[in-house]
Amino acid sequence: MYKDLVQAAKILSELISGRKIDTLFNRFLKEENNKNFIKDIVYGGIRDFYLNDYILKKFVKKDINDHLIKYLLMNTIYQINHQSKAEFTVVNEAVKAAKKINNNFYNLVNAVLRNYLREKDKLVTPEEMYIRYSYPQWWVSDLMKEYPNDYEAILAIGNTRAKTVIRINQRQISLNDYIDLLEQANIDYELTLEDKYIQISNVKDITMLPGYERGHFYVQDPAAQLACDFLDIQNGMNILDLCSAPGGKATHILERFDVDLDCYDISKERINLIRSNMKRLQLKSNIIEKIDINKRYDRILIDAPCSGSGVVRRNIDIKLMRKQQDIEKFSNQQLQLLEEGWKILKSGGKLLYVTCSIFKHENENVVMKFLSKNKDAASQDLIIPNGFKYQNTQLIPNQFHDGLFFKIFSKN
Amino acid sequence: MALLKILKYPDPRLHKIAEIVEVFDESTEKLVQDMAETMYESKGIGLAATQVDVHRRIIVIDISDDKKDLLVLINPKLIKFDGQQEYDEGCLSVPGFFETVKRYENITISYQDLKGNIKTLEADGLLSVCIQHEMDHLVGKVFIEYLSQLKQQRIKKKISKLSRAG
Repeated sequence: MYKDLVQAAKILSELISGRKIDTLFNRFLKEENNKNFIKDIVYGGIRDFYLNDYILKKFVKKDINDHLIKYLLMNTIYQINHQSKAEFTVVNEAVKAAKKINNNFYNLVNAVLRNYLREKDKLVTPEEMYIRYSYPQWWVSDLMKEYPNDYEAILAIGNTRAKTVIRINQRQISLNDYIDLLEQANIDYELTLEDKYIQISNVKDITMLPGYERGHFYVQDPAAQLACDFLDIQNGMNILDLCSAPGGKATHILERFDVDLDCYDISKERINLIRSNMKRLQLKSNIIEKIDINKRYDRILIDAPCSGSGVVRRNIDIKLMRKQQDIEKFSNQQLQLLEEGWKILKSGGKLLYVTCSIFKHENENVVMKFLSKNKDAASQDLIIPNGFKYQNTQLIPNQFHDGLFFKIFSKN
Repeated sequence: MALLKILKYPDPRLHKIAEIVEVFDESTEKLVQDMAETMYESKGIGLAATQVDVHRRIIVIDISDDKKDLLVLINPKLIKFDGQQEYDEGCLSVPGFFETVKRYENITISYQDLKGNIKTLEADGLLSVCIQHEMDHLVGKVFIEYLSQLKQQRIKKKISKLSRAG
């Protein structure tokens, strides 16, 4: 048990020094029996990082010069506040873990946590939104400016755990027939957004859902499923998916249309994900290693790399990983991708720009820059279906869907 | 008195539009008695003439626990409505299915009694839901038509499976 706490503190520490969460889970949790327990602490420790750092400062006068001890304390504050275990057990285990990490600190860990248990009900909720909801300060000031009415709900939804939404592969099975399979397997599901999407809570392992091997479904948020509609595709078209991996939107297009779809991704590693998803969904893809600058496309999809600020509830680690200067880098890259795509779009063709960010800097600002540089580009209206929450073409993340941004340009 | 046969969804006769009642005679009274008996026997709280394949604007309702509060509405007309409420509705023509439907919270209707006297009635809560549900039958509408396409398809599919199973 206490060893799990040591592992969780180590993972958090490595994450803060810049390593990727999936890599860390692979490395640290391979041999562990309590994978889910450790993951829960790591996710909770990340989610409440800024808040717990603030709380810890109230109880520790001097800076703790052992990072692992500090993260152990912060993770334990998370456990006290959000796990159903008895508080004294949690504290005892944390003290044992402290002995293991650094024997000099176990008295301090003991004293701090017992103080916290005594005082915690008297602590007042911090005024500052970035502490209360535990996000980087720059992030919250940005949202307050851009979403004066919705920012608090947006911050709160990022701290929840998203349910799994699956898209049914209509080449394999109808939505109606798939629901029969779920009911036969006694899996609780909910139909959302005017009964168009299947949302499943408590999916531990998606490969256990009916028809996984046969490619009956693909896990994809409702917002991401809109891209296929927005592209306004007709059979026979030439389409390029420029940032294709892992292939969620590309597979959706192929499930619904008979088109020539080229899939490209800058990451050679992630191209394998496109391959395996296409294979499972029984679709034939055309993965290209290089973009042919002489070819012209009817439709181009640019699902650009971005901060991921609209999908925090699915990637809680970005609260720690994103730095303010990253946003500028992303927006430059996004503009560059738009320019590249634009050159190989047929005249009369359409280009769809998608991000999973809610920062204007990566969305409207990029669009404005692009339009001012390209006089043959016109942005068109998109009709967002009933039930989705949005502001212009920016979807606002909530319990039913992620916060994606869409813009479609037509070429004159 | 006699029990009447209740049409089951998706019987197309459920979509016929009922005609206004102009004659208030013994035959109308007999029909109302049979409808009430059929409703009580089936443990329903409302029945429209359409459901027993009589296409005249007649409804019987009894939402009381002791089943002693029969309300007979002939030629009902909605004259005022406001608010919104949701209720898990069921229907004797769609047995076994209960789905949430949005209705007006408060309604006022005018109607005629068995003698042809014109009356008004204000209703809220369950009674309001029930009146709106039954009035829909008179214009050929079954409550599941308020549901999404997918839910309607699922209900049709389950019904056809049940009827195949006999």
